Amino acid sequence: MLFKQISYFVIFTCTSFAFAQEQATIVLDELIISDYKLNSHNKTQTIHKINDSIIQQANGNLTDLLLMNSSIYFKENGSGMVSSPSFRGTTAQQTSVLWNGIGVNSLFLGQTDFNSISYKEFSEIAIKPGGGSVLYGSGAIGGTIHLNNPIRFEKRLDNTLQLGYGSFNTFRVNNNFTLSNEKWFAQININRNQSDNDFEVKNRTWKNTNGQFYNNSASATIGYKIDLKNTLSFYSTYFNDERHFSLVSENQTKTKYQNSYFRNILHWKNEGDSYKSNARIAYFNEGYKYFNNLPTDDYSSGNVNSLIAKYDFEYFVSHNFSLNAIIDYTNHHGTGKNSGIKSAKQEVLGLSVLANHHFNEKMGYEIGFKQEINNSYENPFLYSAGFYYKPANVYQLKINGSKNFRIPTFNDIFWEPGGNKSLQPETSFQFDLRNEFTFKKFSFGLNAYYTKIDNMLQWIPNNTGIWEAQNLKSVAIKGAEFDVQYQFALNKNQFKIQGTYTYTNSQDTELKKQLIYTPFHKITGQISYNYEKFSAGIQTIYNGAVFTTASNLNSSKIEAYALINANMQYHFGRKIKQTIVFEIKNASDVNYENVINRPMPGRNFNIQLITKF
Amino acid sequence: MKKIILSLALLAFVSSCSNVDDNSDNTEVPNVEKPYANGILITNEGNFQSSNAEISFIKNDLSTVYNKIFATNNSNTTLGDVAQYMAFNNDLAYIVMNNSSTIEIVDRYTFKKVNQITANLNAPRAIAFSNGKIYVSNANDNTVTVYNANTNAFIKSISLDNQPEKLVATSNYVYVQSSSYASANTVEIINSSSDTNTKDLSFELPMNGITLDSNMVFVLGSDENKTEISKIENEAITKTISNVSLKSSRYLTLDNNNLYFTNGTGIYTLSKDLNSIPSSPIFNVNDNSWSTLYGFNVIDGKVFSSDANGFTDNSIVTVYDLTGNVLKTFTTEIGTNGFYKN
Repeated sequence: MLFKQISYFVIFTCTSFAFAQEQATIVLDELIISDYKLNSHNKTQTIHKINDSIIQQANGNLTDLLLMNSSIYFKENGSGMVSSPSFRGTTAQQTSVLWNGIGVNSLFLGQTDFNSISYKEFSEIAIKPGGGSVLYGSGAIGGTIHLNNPIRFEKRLDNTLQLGYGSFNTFRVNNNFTLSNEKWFAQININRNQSDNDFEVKNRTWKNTNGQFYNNSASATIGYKIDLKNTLSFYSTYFNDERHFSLVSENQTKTKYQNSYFRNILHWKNEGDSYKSNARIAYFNEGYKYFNNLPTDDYSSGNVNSLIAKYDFEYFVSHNFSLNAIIDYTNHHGTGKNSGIKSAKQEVLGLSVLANHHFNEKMGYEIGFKQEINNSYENPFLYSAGFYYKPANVYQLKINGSKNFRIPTFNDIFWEPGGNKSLQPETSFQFDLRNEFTFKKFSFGLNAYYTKIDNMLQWIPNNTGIWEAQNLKSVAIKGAEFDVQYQFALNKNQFKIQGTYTYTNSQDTELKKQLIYTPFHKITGQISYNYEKFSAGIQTIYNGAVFTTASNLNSSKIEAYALINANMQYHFGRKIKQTIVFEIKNASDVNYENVINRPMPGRNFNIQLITKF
Repeated sequence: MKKIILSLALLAFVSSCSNVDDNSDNTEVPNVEKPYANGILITNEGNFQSSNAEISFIKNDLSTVYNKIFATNNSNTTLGDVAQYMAFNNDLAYIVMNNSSTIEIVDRYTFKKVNQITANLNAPRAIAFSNGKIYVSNANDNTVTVYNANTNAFIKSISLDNQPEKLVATSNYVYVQSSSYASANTVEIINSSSDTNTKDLSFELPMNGITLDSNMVFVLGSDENKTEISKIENEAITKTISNVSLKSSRYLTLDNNNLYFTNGTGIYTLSKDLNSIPSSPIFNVNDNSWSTLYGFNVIDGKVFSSDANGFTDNSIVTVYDLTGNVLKTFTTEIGTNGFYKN
């Protein structure tokens, strides 16, 4: 009912705003990204980009960055601990993270831990709500998060060093070096981040204990323009971390977790007048070690090697109509030690066909189909179809419908005991409608969507006392997202205001209750101010209450909270450009948690010096 | 536009509020001198890593359930993470908090906290009392730790060969049942005067239950092929019977000289003389979801069973008579795993 009203309002409001003033379109510089489909084949869906200056100034982990800059809700097991996203009311495994266009969710858990991933090396992070399985495969149900290292062939030599220090003995160093010309591009980034994470907890006699963590990463991006038609690029990243897991009870046995990944992609792009050919080959490794009984060295571990090959050929039948075939092959091989998984193997072959037709600048459609083939379970036939219409520069309409899926994880299938070899993938149908209004200083967008997910995978104890994986319930999600930007200047004073509001009604179809850990409401707001060399900003987030029981008992509710972060920046230096950033997080010192009995830190401070030379 | 957004938000808010209908938790304290006497204490383990374990109480006449009795009687403090087990010694109840590595000691009739034990605990599973001492099985380091029952002072740690699960004690011995995940299927016996592991008994099948009748110990073993029940007296296995048609049986409990165990959703019984293991149940509990029979016990001729609702919701406790008639159903807390006569 609510959904009907939303769509009615949306459609009604579009027509009244359809004709207004013109505005020049912004032409982006041509750049090479391995995730090239993001810009060329997603015209009928929403994409929000976080630019490099926001990424550079950010401190904390990827959760903190996305919490303030997107509509995604995060379930964080305490500060710095395991962080699971819920995008559009879906589960953590239904949000896919892509590194340069290739999915990197853990093969064991099916999700990305947003507190155990490096992000400082990316100059582009894009957030795309909605289904994307035709392009991005398993897990792209709630939305996709794209971490990209764009390559630009231009004369450039620079080095940026960031040094940060903050409360709870938190310390960060990041160095980013870029050297490029018309033919070559090289970028190297190294990062170290660590924290004692021992904040005081209100109304509790003991501090956050055993929460210390560190992480290290190193990455390289190399591009070589062979000739006008051919480009080779290579992406490589290595990450490792160690997190002690904060105690939920004072005398609990201490544990820690180590994660690592090593990922490489080689990409050959060949482009002619009437075709684009993209060949990619990737080798990934992920591993973890879990120490369940500190201070002893007892641990259990898992490791997966993945080989991925993708070939994509796009043929332009005419300048505005293209046909596209993609074939991809992945081979994952996992092993475990002292864990429920001894050995696990998965081979997947995928075939996709896409058609893009842009009638003119104002109107076009995109269609895609995908079928994956796998020996252990049946794969659904996937599709997506979208339409965009831009009758005037101020207004654009995007409509998209798709069928998406998520395959069971290694743990779901192979874990002994309880893994289930007869599981089916989760499947999802989704319909999404977006209105975008762009004026000179002011723009806003409104999405309404409906998602139905079946065969939800769940671990549940059976009556022989063993927890096992099962395809159980169905979920129906109705939601709306609203985003607004407004910027203006008064003399030399520049202001920028941004805000988002999301409403998510994600119901278990049998119980007719909101899914646990899914807030109905999330609001984010940001105000930035700049005056010559000085800038300041306030960021705020309101996270609605969540239930922790399936029947939505009020006694199990985690209350809503609102947080405020504030920062000040001063830019100085001529030859060597420096910026000093001072930030207060949780400025109003709110005592909050977003998972039961996992308190989060109160007011805390960070200082950062960014030097560019 | 702003108006529309506002009305949308309002609509959303209204619909979200109207979604919620709650069962009210009865958290009042029974108005008698010993509020929790003459009834059944229930451990609700809670969600792992969430510190939301609690204890419930049902009166013997099955008239009322009282939830959250630990918080209610202890200024709303949290009990801790994973209430695994509970046992009584004189007027005290000892609650084994597995992932808190703590034993909470409360007055068994008022539920006021008296003390706690934390020394040398490492993921404790169960507790027993013998010879003026407290014995606790620890799953993380395969030990039994020993404490003085009067002072709660740590005495010693006894190493085991296998990961322990439950333990029971007579006046001379402590019998430690190996976990069904252990590498060997054993009952390791500790002499409670010397506090040493004097004897290990080996069984054919993984251990899935242990119970005590004064000086006799009964154990249940089962796997995908069969079920076996044995009797132990002093340091020896004195009788073993098996049934090759019953697979993956669980729990073993004693009530009025009869042993009870479960298999699937079936409740089975046999005499403690161990004549034979029956092939058919006395009745089946209702199979409501995947986590039926997460908790089970037979107390004074009543069968207590819990459905843990997949740990995403409060548990449902159903009480049956011995012919399978439902006597009463209660809503308890997250992960109800045990019933204890008080």
